[in-house]
Amino acid sequence: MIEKAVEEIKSAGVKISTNIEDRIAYCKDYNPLHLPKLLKKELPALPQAIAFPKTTEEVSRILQVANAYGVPVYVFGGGSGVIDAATPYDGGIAVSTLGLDFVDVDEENMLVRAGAGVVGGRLEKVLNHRGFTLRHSPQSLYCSTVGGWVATAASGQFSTGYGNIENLLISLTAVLPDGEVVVERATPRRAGPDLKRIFVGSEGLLGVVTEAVMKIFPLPEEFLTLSVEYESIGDAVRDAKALMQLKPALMRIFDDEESLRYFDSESFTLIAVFEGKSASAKLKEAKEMVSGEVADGRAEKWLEKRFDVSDISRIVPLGFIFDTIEVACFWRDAEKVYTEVLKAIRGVEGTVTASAHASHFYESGLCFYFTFAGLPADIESYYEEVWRKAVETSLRNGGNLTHHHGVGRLRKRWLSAEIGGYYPLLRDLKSILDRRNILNRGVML
Amino acid sequence: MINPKVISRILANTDLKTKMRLAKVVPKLGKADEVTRCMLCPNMCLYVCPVFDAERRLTVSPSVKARLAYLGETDDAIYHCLPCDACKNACPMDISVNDNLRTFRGGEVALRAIERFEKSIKVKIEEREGRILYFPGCRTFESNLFDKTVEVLEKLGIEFALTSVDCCGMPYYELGLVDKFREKISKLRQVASKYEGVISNCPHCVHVMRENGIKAAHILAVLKPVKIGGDVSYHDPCILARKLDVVEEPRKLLAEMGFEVHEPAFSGKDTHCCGYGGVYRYIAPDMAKKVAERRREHFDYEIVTACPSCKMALKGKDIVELMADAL
Repeated sequence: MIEKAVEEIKSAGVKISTNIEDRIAYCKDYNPLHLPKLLKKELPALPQAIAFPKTTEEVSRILQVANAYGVPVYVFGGGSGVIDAATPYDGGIAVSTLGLDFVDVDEENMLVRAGAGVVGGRLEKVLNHRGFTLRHSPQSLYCSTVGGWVATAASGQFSTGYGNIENLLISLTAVLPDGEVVVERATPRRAGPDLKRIFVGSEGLLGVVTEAVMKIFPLPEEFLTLSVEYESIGDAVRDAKALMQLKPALMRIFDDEESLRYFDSESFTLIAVFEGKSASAKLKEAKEMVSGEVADGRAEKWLEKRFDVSDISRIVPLGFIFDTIEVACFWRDAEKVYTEVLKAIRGVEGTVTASAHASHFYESGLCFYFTFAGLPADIESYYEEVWRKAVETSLRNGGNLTHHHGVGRLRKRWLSAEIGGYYPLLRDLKSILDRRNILNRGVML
Repeated sequence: MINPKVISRILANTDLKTKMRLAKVVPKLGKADEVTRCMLCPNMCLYVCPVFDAERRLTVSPSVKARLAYLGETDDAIYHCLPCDACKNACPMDISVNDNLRTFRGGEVALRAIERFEKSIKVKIEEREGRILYFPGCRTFESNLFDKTVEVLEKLGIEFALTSVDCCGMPYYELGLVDKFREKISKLRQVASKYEGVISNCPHCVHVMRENGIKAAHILAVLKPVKIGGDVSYHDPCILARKLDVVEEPRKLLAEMGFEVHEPAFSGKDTHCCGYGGVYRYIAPDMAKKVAERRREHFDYEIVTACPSCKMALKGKDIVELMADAL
């Protein structure tokens, strides 16, 4: 079947490869469990072919053919997702969206139309050169794509001020699993239910996002920082809630363990960035509002290091497993979620470090981002136990399942507990839109 | 260096069995080779990689090329690389993907590419004597910059020698053809030893010479401003900016020549390769052209540069050419 599908896609003029080097390139996402496998020269999975469409129409043709032959299709952007969503366990065709790489800037309306395969760092560079910014800045900015952001419901370091990807989206073009193209008129606001939202966080389950129109912002004239230290997480969280009145562009709280790593301080640290014309006034007011001790320079230290993930490359060859677990909660549950989840992770034998920071803030609550590194006797069982204990502790104490990394295969067993009655609705949507279950099979549901 | 307070926290919070495992592995911290560390990275330099940007497939992305090398899959993708070091410039581990892949090369693709390169060489030099050696490099001929450079050097009163040695060996080096490279660079070293130093238009040649013990400088070092004026965008050749650390000098020279210099997206040490660096042109000529086309999109004014390869790729002007036209 796959051979016939490959031939048909090729004869439709779409570039498709069965070369082993291309297949290895698309054998996994960035779930940490894949790394020890690679070190042992094992491949987590192997697609049978890689399709490289350059247009929405070519994506449509690939999906039509795959449907006709019942061939599984996995959608790949930059492959930086960490929840094992893009890994092609059933073989089939990996569709690389990277060829959808156009960028059209509409300065008058402050919009950018970008192909799904545009890499974030390059998009930001192009916008900056023209005096604009997307202000969507996930840590994966340099290796993730526009389509990947939509598919995973991504969030960035400036989400507190500018919103998550769903808040930046104006319109989307997507291809349904049967090849039908859906596109809507871009307007500042729209009529009827906002159905493009079904693709936000859908992880390729319901269709392939091929392009997005997003808001852009003028590069801020002023960029001012605040750094404050505290005795406890509770004090820092209370001040963060108060500071939300001043709408910081970015805010984070680092616990004592992370403060030690970043700032050589065993206190808890809050940093905030105020941007734009009223930044000075906001900073002045913020300094008067906070109960902690102002500790200048910490925000700058973190900003300088914020895209550095090189520790992974240093410790994984030694047998460590390293991962992050991000959950959202309301203000009232913040201290409990922080304390209990950390305790749960630290309680698993093999854990070497466990720490947390709060990375995204809302009027009603925040996101805690837990980081752990373990040196266990058996990586897979350790990893499974940490995840199970952390997620179940989060759900039990008022936290949720995920803030912005997504569900994938890693978290799918808890999805129905999180979304309740919407779970069967999602299952129904999947079966209606993807009758042959070809798209990102095994993900989320 | 790990903060001692972090270590004491780890020791306080870790169970005994894990402590024993830690004791075994800690001495190995930071000892993994660069290919392994690069392979384990999520591709954080993807956005600056010109080859990936043109080819649009993860197969030729930096950390996937490291993965392929690690796995022993070295037939093709590991050659799809430029010596621009955009990856190294963006990497907190200071890893150059191209430097690491070079040792895995030398196969069929290398032999085919070097044949194409050798066929493309058209060097014609009339020897002359002088205190310093002007070594144009093959691409100075290919980009029709040789005669103009000679003219400018003469008009500026610079006394220079020319010899018939035609190659610094860079293409052999990049393709992993080590013996042939040694032969080329030895010959050049022997010739260069007769002079006070060497100047060249080509940043590649200067870099290779310096790395192999030859006292060499880019031609910018001997140029003097000639008043012209106008608006230009300066393209930093990647080898010149990143490996020879020449960033301010061409801008200063252009300003003294009366130019208003406009910066493109990706400039200075964060420059973007033109696609014609190294030997990518002989591996994937269409893709090298695509890198060049995409690079051209970053400029708003006439492109001026200081490298014969960049001049060809970007259809711009070399600073030497501007001078030749004005002198």
